[in-house]
Amino acid sequence: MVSATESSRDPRLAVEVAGIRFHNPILTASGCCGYGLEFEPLFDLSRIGGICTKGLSAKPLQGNPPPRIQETPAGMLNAIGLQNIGARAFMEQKLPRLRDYDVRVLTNVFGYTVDDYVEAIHMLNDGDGIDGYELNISCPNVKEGGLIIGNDPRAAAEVTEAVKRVAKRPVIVKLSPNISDVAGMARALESAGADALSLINTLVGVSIDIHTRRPRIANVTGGLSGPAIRPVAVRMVWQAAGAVKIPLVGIGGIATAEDAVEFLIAGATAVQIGTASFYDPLATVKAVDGLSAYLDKTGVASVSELTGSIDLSPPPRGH
Amino acid sequence: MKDLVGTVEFNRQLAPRYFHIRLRLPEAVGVLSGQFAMLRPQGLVEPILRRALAIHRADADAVEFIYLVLGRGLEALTRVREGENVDVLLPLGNTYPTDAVTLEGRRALLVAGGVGSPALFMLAGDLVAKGADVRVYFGGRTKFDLPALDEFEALGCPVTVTTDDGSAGERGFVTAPLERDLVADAGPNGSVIYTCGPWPMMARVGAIAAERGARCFVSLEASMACGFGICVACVVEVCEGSFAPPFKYQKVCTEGPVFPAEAIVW
Ligand SMILES: Cc1cc2nc3c(=O)[nH]c(=O)nc-3n(C[C@H](O)[C@H](O)[C@H](O)COP(=O)(O)OP(=O)(O)OC[C@H]3O[C@@H](n4cnc5c(N)ncnc54)[C@H](O)[C@@H]3O)c2cc1C
Ligand SMILES: Cc1cc2nc3c(=O)[nH]c(=O)nc-3n(C[C@H](O)[C@H](O)[C@H](O)COP(=O)(O)O)c2cc1C
Ligand code: FES
Repeated sequence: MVSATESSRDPRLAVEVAGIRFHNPILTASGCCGYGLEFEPLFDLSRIGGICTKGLSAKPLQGNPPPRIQETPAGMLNAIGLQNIGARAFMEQKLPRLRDYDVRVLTNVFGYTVDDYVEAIHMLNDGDGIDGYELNISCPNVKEGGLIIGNDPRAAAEVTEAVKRVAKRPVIVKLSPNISDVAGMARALESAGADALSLINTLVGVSIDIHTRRPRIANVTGGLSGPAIRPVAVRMVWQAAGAVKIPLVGIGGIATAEDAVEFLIAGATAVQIGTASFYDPLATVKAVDGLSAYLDKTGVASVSELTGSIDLSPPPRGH
Repeated sequence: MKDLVGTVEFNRQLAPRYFHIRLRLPEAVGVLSGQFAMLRPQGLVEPILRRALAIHRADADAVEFIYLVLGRGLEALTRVREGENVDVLLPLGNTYPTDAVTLEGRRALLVAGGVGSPALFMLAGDLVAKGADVRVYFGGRTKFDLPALDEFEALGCPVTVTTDDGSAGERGFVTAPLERDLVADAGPNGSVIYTCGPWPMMARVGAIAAERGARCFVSLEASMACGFGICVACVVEVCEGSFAPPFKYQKVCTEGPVFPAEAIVW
């Protein structure tokens, strides 16, 4: 496959997050793109700004028993349980092929303890072709880990500091939406040294089959994603933008360029597309093209001008 | 694998809740028996996820599906009219291993349960065309749960029908005639069983195959969000040793949907 050349790119879309240059602000979200290579038959990976891998741990993980998903109104619940091939196998089997593309690679990392994160980052530091790390401190599926760390600013800051001490690459910390004080959490992570924040991860939910009275996914609770969570995510990006100076990556229910623009206006510098890729496998590339079209139509010079441009003056009369 | 826009040539009801749809594709797509597609009426807002359907028939530039409406996704598909568009990602998944039939001359026994039959129809056609010794066993709850039975019968191979209520063919489960025939005459070179249908039926067919020393391949269903390996939702538990470690859960969409029966934890 021929890679998108520099000349076919729209320079108005280039952004920088945590010192990483993305040629456009559209990234895939963790757990919604496998290891990136799954998209190879569908589009040239060099066309999107970045890939954020499935959550990796130092050792491979089996994940939860099925059923693992349930569709819900305008969204879905998932409890995959972080099944992954492990950091070592990722670097040996996937990373060399990702290097064929001009696309930034973020490896999403999770753990149950501070040591787990540090161990995985140590391994990934050797990976050639990784541009940055995204820390999942918010996965709602794994009882011992995500919920506790991601909901406690002190624990989250501790993980961030420990990772920052060993990480050879920029660290983006991914926020859980299952918190009440977004600004407080964002500030704690910024002080702990996070180079950027990404938000949001999934919201914890349950769906019950009323005929059998059983939960519809084996893990009972699952993470809600998709268009249903978009307003929650936009709100959190906006709140975080008011609290910290580090850049934000918006995530949650984004399916189109218009959705992405909404996050940029709220304060994000880049965005990730997750669930939409399941039902529209070309959603990311369509969003890249859609952003150029949006700039053409509105006359805005570049996407970075949109970041944080929310206008809070009251709506005009008659609305 | 391609994400295409198919145009509906027909979308007609076969029986209560069963439909047959044919989509013209903008380009030729090579399809192997057992492969499937992910479909969604174009522009549909809700529900968001595509639905997995076995490719029942494939011409150079058209594909057909037979579907049983269980909920709102396939219900929405029933409302798509001739000339309207459907987003279709295809072809997905693996295919049935057939060397034991086509090269080693074993008899092919195809065991279909209800709407599992579309996953076996292309296989039946391919094997009959290659002159293989093919027998079809088709079971349904009632005579209304035998979608496209006439198409199987038109292939010219023997088709044994069973229904739970006796409204068509023999009364009882499809595994009864299968077992009877296997005992009476497994074919001069032995048999290979291919099956798709409800989980308990496939489990029983797998057990019968193991007892009789016949090879057996099952085409599985699973809850799918993507159909091409990115969500890791569609897993099935497999037996230790049947796949390279470390995983006991394998993705039905990319490692399957066809698995050797003995690889599955039933
Ligand atoms: C590889 C593959 C091939 C398939 N081929 C066909 C085919 O050729 N024809 C066909 O009709 N179907 C086929 N299916 C099954 C089909 O995908 C589901 O039945 C469909 O997604 C249900 O969609 P819905 O909108 O009707 O129901 P939904 O709204 O998704 O579900 C309604 C209810 O049915 C239940 N349900 C959903 N899926 C199943 C299932 N598979 N078995 C039992 N209960 C279920 C749900 O839990 C829910 O309670 C296939 C599935 C796979 C994975
Ligand atoms: C099936 C699935 C698996 C996911 N796996 C991970 C993961 O491994 N690590 C992580 O940080 N987030 C994971 N997420 C969360 C997404 O990256 C994203 O934050 C969330 O789904 C919201 O975005 P969306 O609405 O665009 O999907 C997963 C989401 C889904 C739906
Ligand atoms: S359906 Fe998404 S990985 Fe199989």
